[in-house]
Amino acid sequence: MVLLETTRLKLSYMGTEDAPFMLNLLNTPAYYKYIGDRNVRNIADAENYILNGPVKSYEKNGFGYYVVKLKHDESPVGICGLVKREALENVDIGFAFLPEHEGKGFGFESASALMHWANQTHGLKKIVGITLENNLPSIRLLEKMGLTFDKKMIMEDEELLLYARTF
Amino acid sequence: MTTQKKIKTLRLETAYLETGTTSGDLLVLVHGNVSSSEFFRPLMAKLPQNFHIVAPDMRGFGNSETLPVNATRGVRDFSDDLYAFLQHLIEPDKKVHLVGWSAGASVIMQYVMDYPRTVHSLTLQAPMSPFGFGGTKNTGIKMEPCSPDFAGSGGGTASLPFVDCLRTRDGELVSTQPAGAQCNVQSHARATMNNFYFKVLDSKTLLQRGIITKEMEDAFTESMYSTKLGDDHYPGNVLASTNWPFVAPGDKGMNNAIAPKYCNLSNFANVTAKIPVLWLRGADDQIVSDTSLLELNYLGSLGYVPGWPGAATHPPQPMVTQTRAVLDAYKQNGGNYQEVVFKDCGHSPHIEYEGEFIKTINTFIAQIN
Repeated sequence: MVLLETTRLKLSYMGTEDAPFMLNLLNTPAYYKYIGDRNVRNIADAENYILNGPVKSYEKNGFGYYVVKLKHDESPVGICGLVKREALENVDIGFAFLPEHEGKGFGFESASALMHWANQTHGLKKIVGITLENNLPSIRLLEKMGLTFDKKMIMEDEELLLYARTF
Repeated sequence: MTTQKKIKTLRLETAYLETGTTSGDLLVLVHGNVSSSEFFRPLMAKLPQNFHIVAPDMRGFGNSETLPVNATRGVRDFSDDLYAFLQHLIEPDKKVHLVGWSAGASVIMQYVMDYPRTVHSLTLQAPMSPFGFGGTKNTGIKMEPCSPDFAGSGGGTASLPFVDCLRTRDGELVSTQPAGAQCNVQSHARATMNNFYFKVLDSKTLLQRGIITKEMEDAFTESMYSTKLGDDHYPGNVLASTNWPFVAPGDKGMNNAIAPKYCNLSNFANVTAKIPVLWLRGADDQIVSDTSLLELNYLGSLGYVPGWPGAATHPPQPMVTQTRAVLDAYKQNGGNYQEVVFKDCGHSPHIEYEGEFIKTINTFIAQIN
């Protein structure tokens, strides 16, 4: 099911049929470096991850992570989504793309549309983003989307930068 | 050795960079918006020196005279300036090869439309759409504005903080603008160049990748600062519009000269002198693109410009598609063009991939000779 369409992309709800793609994405070097190892090693792991992560979030919050696909051929290029974490007061936006699809503006296109959707549909007045200090592509994207640096914080023993934007 | 010179024509005192052999065929490099000949200086030293290589500054840019731009003539103020300038350099038995970058490509297209038999080849690097910047939606060769008054193009589409960064040299000087229009770090000329003029690759700028030096980055930034600002220059005056996004082109200055109200180069398809065309562009150009980050319909579609009326009436301007439509029509009418796309490249192939750029242009010109 499609949540949103942009000029080049569509954001689809994630389901177990996306397990092969997620297995691939969660094990790219960039994902390990900037986000972490999710211990997803096979299709069954990936299915569990999808059910316990995004699918659960859809039911609980009305939003979650979505698969970003190219409109013209439906091929998945990355994920983009909204998460409500215990540790954070506000909903945070995140994204990850396969290395071969970086640098095309897909992150900006999908995350921008999702951010404004969250504001308009869920009435979220503040959106945050968390990132490692060395994740320059992510920082640049958050800034492009109008989020600004708020503070440093510790989450799960990691020092992170918190970016925020109010509407 | 590249030197700066000036020629005073009846139209404009034109500053230009010059290198190569003055008795050789002319290779003319024409810059675009918010830049100057300085962006060509490193390239000029590496191009074959048997050419007579010149890069003029357009009016209101670099070191040329600051004269007002009459936008109702489209880009003809610039193409006529260029014609007057070249009359001082052209020799009867020598060929003339024009290279235009971005809006400079529009200038040389207009030049060929007005003075077709004086040019031997045309290289369009990251050319602006033949239908100008913003406000149109056609994918074919007949212009279709999104609104009858061409709202969404012209002087009102420039980012005010960016204009203030040019004015204050990225915040070195004190801003006198109201709060929302003040220079900020994201709008700095240097940041705009590093993030938009060039592609950021592996999260590194060209300087960090060792492709340009600090001196070059500084010179390019100075070149952007050299843009003359105001209603007669950059970005130009603005008309209020009742159509989204509520700004329509005025009649003066740079961004109005490249607004589709006055700039329509679709007739290039009908130029009778069939001059070979080389179309060069970066695959990941974010300025001239079917999803341009500087174009209001695309930004509107992503939620950044409130009230976007939707893709049915206001789709992102298909800039690359529009260029292809006009060049395909040129081809159908007996002309020819070749398209070369540089991978992992932004708006500036001649800087980002200087070696390949030179190789490509050499091969192209050798085919003509």
